[in-house]
Amino acid sequence: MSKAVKSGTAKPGSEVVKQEDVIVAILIADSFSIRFAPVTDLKPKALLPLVNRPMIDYALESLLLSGVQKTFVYCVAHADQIRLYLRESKWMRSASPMSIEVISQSSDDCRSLGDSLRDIDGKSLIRGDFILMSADVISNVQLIPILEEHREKRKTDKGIVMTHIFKKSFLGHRSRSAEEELVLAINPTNGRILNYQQSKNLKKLSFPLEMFKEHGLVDLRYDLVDTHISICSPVVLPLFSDNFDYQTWGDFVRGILINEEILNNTIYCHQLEGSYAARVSNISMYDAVSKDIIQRWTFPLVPDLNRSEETPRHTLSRHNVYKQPGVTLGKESVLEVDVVVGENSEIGEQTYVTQSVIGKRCKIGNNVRISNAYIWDDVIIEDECCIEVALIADGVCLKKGVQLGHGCVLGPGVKLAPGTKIPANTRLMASPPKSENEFEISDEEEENLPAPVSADSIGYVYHRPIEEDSDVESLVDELWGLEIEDDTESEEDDEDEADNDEDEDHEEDLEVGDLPEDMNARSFYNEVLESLQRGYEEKIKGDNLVLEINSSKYAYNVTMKEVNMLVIKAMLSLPSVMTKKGGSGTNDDWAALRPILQHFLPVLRNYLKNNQSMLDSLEALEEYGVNNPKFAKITCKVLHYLYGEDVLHEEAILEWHANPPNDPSAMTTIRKIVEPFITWLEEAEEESSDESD
Amino acid sequence: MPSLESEIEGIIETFTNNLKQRKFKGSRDLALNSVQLWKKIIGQMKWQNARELMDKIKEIGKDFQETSPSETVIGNMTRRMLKIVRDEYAMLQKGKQEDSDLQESLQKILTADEVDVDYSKNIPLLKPAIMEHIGEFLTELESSEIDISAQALEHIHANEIIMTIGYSKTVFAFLKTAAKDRAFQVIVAECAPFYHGHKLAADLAEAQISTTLIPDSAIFAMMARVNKVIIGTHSVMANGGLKAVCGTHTLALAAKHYSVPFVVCAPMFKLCPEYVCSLDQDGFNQFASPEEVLSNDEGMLVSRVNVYNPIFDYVPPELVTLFISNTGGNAPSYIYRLLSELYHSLDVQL
Repeated sequence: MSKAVKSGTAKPGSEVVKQEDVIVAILIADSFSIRFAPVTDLKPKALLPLVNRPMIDYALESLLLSGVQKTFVYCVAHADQIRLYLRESKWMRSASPMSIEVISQSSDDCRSLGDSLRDIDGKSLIRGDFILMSADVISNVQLIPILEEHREKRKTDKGIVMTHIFKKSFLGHRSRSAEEELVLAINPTNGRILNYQQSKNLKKLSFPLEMFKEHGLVDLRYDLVDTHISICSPVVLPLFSDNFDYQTWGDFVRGILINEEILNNTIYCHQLEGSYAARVSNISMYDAVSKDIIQRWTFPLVPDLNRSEETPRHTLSRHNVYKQPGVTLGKESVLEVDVVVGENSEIGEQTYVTQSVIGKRCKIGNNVRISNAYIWDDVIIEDECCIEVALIADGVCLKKGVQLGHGCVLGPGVKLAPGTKIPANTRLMASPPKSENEFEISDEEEENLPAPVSADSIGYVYHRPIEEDSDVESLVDELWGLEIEDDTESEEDDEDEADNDEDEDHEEDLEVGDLPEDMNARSFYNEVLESLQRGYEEKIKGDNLVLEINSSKYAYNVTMKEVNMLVIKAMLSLPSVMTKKGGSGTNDDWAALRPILQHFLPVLRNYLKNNQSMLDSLEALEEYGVNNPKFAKITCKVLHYLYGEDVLHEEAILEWHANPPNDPSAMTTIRKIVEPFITWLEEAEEESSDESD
Repeated sequence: MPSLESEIEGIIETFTNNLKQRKFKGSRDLALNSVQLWKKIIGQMKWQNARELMDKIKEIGKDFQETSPSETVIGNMTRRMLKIVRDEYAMLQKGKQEDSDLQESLQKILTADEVDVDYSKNIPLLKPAIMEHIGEFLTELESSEIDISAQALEHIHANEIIMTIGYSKTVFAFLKTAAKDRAFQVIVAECAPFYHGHKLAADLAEAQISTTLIPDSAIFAMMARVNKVIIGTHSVMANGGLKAVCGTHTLALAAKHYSVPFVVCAPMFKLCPEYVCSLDQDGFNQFASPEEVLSNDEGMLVSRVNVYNPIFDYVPPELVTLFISNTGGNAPSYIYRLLSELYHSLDVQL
């Protein structure tokens, strides 16, 4: 142990002893994130059903099974709903061996875990050691022995503030949340946490040398998953109050470790052996945890043992098929494996269900295929629908023949007209999105109300408000359900390098013709062309198109460079595709192209963000011009227009012009045509630099 | 008086909670605790007549059974309570006639009409009589283990080789009693994946009994030299079949193959008036977390492999040679008769 000076913040032992007989837990019933939006817009996350049972029930049940005697449920978003639910439930009955107190706070005053703990500290409710857990944690851990261990450790280390619980799971485990990859440095002799780093999309990690000097033996662990359960000494709350910059658990740990020398506070890690704990932090984790519950890893928190007054027990039959009473199965319908069907649901004839959860009072028609889907209560699915990897919230209605792409999330009350096809990874909600969150919307677009996904449907595409640094995170859960999840992720990370490396390899392929030889790229091109054409004709919003193009990108596994090039080519060829004839080589071409480009400006802006992507698009422009000599004449106009709209930057255009063209023939045609524009640009630049001098 | 009601509710809640937390060690502990609970409930609850009491017992008993559906002992005890109420009521109504009831002939049972007796009469003496009967029943439960092990010397002879599986307190007591007078060997199958056999082997070795621990896969190979198989069971079904720890069926089949006597130590409270339908094997069974079979850490494996971890085996009655209960030895074919003595036919369906 380090010999730093002892601080006054450590509570004297005597006070703790008094509280020792009552075991207290704080349950934070808010995850302070929008991972589940739009589903969580109307209902708190803690009350979302997880295998036909509200999530908070699992958390309370596991606390009760651990022998916790008093639980404070701290709710922020939709606090009234949680309060109401708990009041009606068995948890608040006087005879219950665990007493529950609900504390609610408005979401303006409490935006993070840190805020809520500061608030609890302000109320001075807790004086002894306590268990801190999130309401979306599902676990069958016996917490009392860990609490004892925590108290035991205090005898040797007065500065212990927290024992955090981790679960071992190797890479590739489904309950490893990609958002929460972490590397932990632990002293293996006593389990003390020496360093904590979130490793998501990092390539290098650095550790202070002192750590190794001081401890000699250090375990670096990448196989641990945060369970979001911790045993805290009472001093944790004042620590949060003293440091207003502690927002999350990670901030807290880092803060403690940095100030270790001064405050002599330490954090320990407890590694679970043979018990289960996981947090439903995003939709992929919702999927993983649901599967774990169905496959009984969470025993005894399994559907056939969970019951309350309102919900009867599920009965278990072969291959983990759970049914509540009143389930009707049609002729030749199959519940294959890992299926849960809620009370009074009806499943039609020849319907096939596998690895899915179906809620209460659902009506599912004939010839429906459902796999890997989570369907909540009162959902109506008509005949011949096809649902793979989707989350369908309460009261959704899918008319005949609706097809959902992988990873769709349908918010409560969405209704889809017959035959609607929804592309992969779309999130729909029942009311039109509020546009105030988005800053990229231009004036004319705001006037057009967003259209539903198809006529006669109630369903609007939900856009996540853009957060800083959230690209990778949102990517991770938007990719829910794709088999190749891991590969695509790493590809995204390495995108920039990969692009540079692949330039040489791909260029030959691309040069040969207008369309790439590569089958994937060709199919992708056709798909993009179709999307764009439809998008232009139906005036679909740019963001929706980007979504569509992106999903095609994943489907055909094309690189970002190819996407940039092919999108441009598709746009340029749109007039001739739509009119079914080649360009006339006159100004009419430009007249036809201009509105199209104008409509797609948001799409272009989305793709052409940096210099490299602009160079790609210029290259595409050039190739297109070489292959369609008639188009070549208006290249200059296109360039000028795009420059004027600030889609292409001056530097990119000049750089493109400075580099020799891939196709020598371009030198005489395209380059010649754009010559006046380039000179104009150069002059303008000289002028401006003169002025600045 | 709401306070009395809430007090009972409190006792019930604590019991169900203990049940959920698996605080009871073994089925005898569970049986004792639930009877003590019933004693409290019947003693404190307000009821006017036997009918009302029985309805309440049924209602609460159903709730217990739902909480832990695989624990048949709870249901058995509820039925036993109903039977006690019925007996005491009949006794007080007709005097000593009840005794003759036990000697009913088969014909009389068959021809007897199933009409329930009128239980709505208010008999003030009923409550103390019931309490006394429950007290007697409690002592019977407490001594059941001793009663069974008292018969050990009739079944275990010198230099015999006994095989058993898993850990059963009754079997341990049985063997320990026999070891006081006779020298014999015990082979214990370890009973994977829970490995309760390890504990039994350790305990037996400590009690100076020569013990061999074998993996479950070696049961058949070792059976040839075994003189007797003695096991415990979770419960005995109405047809004389067993609901016993997973692996018992293998053991029973191996014993049958070598014609080794297959003896089951089962106190009376484990007799359950329910039948197992062969189609409903999964409903009858209980599946625990697969953790013991495959650790949850194993990254890719967990999402690609389906792992099952059943706790129980059903052993058909034709594989069982003898039941040793606290009242003596019985053949499986006689179980139905014992059941009709223990429980009233109208209480089988709670």
